Amino acid sequence: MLGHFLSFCLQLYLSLCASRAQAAEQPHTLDKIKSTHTISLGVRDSSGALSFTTGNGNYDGYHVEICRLIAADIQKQLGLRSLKIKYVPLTSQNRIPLIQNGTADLDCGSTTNSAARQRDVAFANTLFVEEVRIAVKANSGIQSISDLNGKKVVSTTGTTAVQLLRQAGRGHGLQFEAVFGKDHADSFLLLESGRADAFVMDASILSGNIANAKIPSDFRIVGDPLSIEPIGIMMRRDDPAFKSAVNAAIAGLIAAGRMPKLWDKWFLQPIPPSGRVIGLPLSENTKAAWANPNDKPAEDYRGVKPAAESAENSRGLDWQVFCKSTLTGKRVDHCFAFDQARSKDPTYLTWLLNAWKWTLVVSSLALVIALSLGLTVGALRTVPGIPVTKRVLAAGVELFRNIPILVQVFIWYYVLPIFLPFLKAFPSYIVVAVALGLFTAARLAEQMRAGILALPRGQIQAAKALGLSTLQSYRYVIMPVALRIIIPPLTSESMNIVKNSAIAFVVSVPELTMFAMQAQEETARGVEIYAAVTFVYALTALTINRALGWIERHTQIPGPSSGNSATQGAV
Amino acid sequence: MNLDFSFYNWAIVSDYLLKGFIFSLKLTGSTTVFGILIGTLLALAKLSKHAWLSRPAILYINLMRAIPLVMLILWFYLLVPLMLGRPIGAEPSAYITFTAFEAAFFAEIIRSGIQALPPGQSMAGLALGMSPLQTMRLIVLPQALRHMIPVLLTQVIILFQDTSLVYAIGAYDLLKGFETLGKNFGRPVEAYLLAAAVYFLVCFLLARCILFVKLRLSVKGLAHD
Repeated sequence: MLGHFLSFCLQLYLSLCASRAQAAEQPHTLDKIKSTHTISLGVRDSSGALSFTTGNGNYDGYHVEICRLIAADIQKQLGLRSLKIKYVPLTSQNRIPLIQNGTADLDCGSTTNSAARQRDVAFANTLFVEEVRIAVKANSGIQSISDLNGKKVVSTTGTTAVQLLRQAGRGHGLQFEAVFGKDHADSFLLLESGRADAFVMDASILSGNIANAKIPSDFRIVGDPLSIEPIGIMMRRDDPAFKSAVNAAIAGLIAAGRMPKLWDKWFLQPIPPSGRVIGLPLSENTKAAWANPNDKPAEDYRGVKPAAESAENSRGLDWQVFCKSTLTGKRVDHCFAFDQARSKDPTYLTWLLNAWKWTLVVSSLALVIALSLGLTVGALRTVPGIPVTKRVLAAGVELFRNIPILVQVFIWYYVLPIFLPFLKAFPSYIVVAVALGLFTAARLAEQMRAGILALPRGQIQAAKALGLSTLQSYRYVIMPVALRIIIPPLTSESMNIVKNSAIAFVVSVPELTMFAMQAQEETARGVEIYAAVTFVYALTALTINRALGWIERHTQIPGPSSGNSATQGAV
Repeated sequence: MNLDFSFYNWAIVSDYLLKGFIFSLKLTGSTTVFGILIGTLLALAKLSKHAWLSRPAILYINLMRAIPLVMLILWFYLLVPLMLGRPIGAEPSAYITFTAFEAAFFAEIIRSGIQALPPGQSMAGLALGMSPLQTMRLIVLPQALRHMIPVLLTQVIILFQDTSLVYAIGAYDLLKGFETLGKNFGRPVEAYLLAAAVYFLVCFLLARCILFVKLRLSVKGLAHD
């Protein structure tokens, strides 16, 4: 069996190594389009005005319309009578692999064209140049990045702005607290609800969110751009014929003078679905890109020459990524050194370990809450009498187990503080531990109740006959057996807590899932990062599994049919 | 911050939410059916006396229970196409991953249901001259499954809520519908509040329905709580 498993692992590894090489073995995109009469456009559900859904499986936006125009031009170039457009929804986590494996032919979303990404994919000539800027509340008095000292600054997980923020902080000698939103809407909500003082992000996203806010005049975009980034239409690498067809279509759009009209339509006029106006004026950088079409990566705009990665590094797996600095992206020597150097110039490994720590903190806090509350509530619901208390507890259990944990965390963090302002004082990891604790407590309470109900009636009757009070019968007869019965479901729930703690990233706790999303974005090494994070999760959960298994074995009631005897009363 | 629900109307519900709701229901339904089928086989394998059956089953169940579902979804979605050499869609991928994952959980529930039966039941079956397979199929499993219905139901509710994890591969479920709606109309708080209400209602009704089924299915003549 082990042999089979190992050979499977080997196969998996080999196929991973082959992943980048395999792109070349796929049919050329143009041939595929010709034979299937279909082009797959990768789209985003809500990437500002660049790409968004108008509902019912339809998509629109600046880049989506450009992609449709490109598709029409390719249809003409190939002489096809009809060409079907298929939309493939992408996320920032899956867009690169899906372009690589051919699920989507073009990514018409909001992907920054960077040197790191150009190792894996290609970009069409840039038609949109983004500026990373700072949005603040109009009355905050913040004018530029230097005013951010000691403030809370939010950015969105999985974007290049996070790394930029880290570098800018170091460059200006600033100390600020970085917080992270799950997506742009959440990040803006952090600014709107006063949990952050500034939101650093692409200007188009900032102005879109501000235009959409309840009172747009409450917000302002201030300071110089922190960075200038070309946002490109992404496609497969190693398919030059397709790339030149796309670029020819783009050249046609520019030559026909379509670009200024498209800009006006998407960034200055009301757009669907709600008729909002983004209000983003055409920048000099975008104009320059139209005048001189190119696919230069962001590094060229910043005037930084990217460190030339050796060719063999870009193929196969590269575990060195964990020894790279999170500030410079360069490999450093103190990868495993646990000293001063770690805190000054942390590597991705340091970050991973730190993220693990947060996962453990949130999980163990939640576990304490879930155990103490869940077991008590479950037991109380079986006590004879106290009908009102039992009904209240039953309602609580239904409430907490029937709403997804993601929604519950969101409500604890954003909605309840509107009515209970003191909740804002708690750090977010406490909020998420409480939410996760209550969610799990509701499930544990049910398990506990089922465990007690499964006890043979005779046990409880015997306790009563012996003259024990209710409290005594629970303390000496019921609980000792019931607790043993529920160890297996308790094991499952404890493992679930570790896994569900991933939800903490939603309220910007820097735990493992946030690390995975952010680090794979920064390093473009998704496979290695996800593998490491999956391993750490599995290790944690299995440790808990083993520990509780040990407890189960060592607390078993001795006897001929131990283990099963306790639950026999269920029949 | 005051709440503003004015942007909701029926056109929006059918444009943004219906598709996601149907997908969530379909994913929950098919995972429940196939997950319980495969889970039963896994449970039997785990309880088997033969090591070549029980060892792989135990390994599989423990591995599935130790990995976060969202990681499994990502791995399957991103890696299987690389191995097959051709892409698979987000939705087929979600169906397969969810079934593979939930089967491990259903297996544990069914196993504890089987083990909770008094050994006398299967002994009686064997004493009547039934084969072990017949005993399992006609005596043990019908009772074990009935007893575990409340726990299976809880797992189905968890499953319905977990369908929201398909966000990782860009599939469109109910929660995604609410999120997209909230973002594209600039009302995330209101959208999440409505999501909470809808999920609560669906899960609560689901629980009531299955409890009703449980009462109809219960074995007549046996003592019950």
